Amino acid sequence: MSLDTRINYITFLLIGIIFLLVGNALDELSIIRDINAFSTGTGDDLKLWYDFLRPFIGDSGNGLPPPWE
Amino acid sequence: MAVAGSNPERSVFQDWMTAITRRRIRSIRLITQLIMFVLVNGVIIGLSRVPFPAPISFPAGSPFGTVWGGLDAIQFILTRGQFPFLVFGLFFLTGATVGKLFCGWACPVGLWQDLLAIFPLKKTKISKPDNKAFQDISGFILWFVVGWSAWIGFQRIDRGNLEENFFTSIPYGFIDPAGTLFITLWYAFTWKILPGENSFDAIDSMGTMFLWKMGALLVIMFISMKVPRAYCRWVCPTGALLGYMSKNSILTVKRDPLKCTDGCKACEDACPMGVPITDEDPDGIANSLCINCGNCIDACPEAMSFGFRL
Ligand code: SF4
Ligand code: SF4
Ligand code: SF4
Repeated sequence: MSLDTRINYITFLLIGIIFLLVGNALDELSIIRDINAFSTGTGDDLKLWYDFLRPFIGDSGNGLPPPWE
Repeated sequence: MAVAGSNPERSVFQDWMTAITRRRIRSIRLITQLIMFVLVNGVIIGLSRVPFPAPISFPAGSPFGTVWGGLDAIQFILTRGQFPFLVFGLFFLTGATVGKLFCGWACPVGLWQDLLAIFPLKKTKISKPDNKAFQDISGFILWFVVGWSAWIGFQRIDRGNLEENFFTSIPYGFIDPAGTLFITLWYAFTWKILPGENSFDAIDSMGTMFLWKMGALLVIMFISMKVPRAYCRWVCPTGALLGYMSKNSILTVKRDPLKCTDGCKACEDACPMGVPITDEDPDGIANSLCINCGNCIDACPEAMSFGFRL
């Protein structure tokens, strides 16, 4: 096995750890939590879910109609 | 002694046991894949959500999802005008240590394709250069999606609020089979089909985006029946991102050249990703396609084994 392989994975390990720490310092998980409809504190309310998941479904114009219709 | 298979006394159970012992890693992997499938969709069995990115192809915040798919997290954070350090860091660490192990052992879309490959449709043989060339598609999609999301992020900072739709939140949600499987279809059933609407009317009322996504899903399904894990090999941007690191990952598969009778290629025939194993470095496969699944080890336990490149 070549030295390149080791240099390669050690580099990615170091960058990975630095990125994890930076992401953690920037409180990236809170963005993830914020966008999660469930974590907004209102539970499994369907409208919240619908708004949150719209990117996967399309909007009411061209995708699934909202559940309350 | 009677030859296995020709003995009428043998029960189905015994046949199964023989098949399982011959494909030991495959059996353990299938069980792991099924357990992981239940865990990532764990809200069904009452697990709580952990808003944490995972290096697998899974939608962000699906109705039953316990974790977030890494690629969706990257897109979401980028379109909010931040750089996803943490998610990239997680991908780098995973890829550099275990490579694409999660693809082989945990990804629900990987499991779905493994199951599709069982479908008795004549498999298409793809040449090694073609397999490698088609792989570039996934890299292109990855950087297009990342670039697009970053551009949206800049627009959002520039103009304040942007309209929320497909293209300003999760651009890849447009074709992502994970989103279609674990969100779109589920909603189609709960909102339209289950309440008793006629299926054809329901599909008609769901509009173009639903039809587009279903079309993309069907195309991917058909290709994955013809070529095992075709989506993983050529299209999946999550796999493409892991592939940059997994080429030189610490966990790898080794081949003992002394025990390898040249030219039998049983290992290559067993590989779901079409890795040219015999052309690879015996000290460890340096191919971004390899998902550390172990099918090649099952096919040739004498020469192939898992190993570490330390
Ligand atoms: S390459 Fe395949 S197994 Fe890996 S994340 Fe993508 S769909 Fe899942
Ligand atoms: S199956 Fe075993 S013996 Fe045959 S080519 Fe592969 S490693 Fe060599
Ligand atoms: S080379 Fe072996 S471990 Fe890697 S994908 Fe192919 S069969 Fe699986």
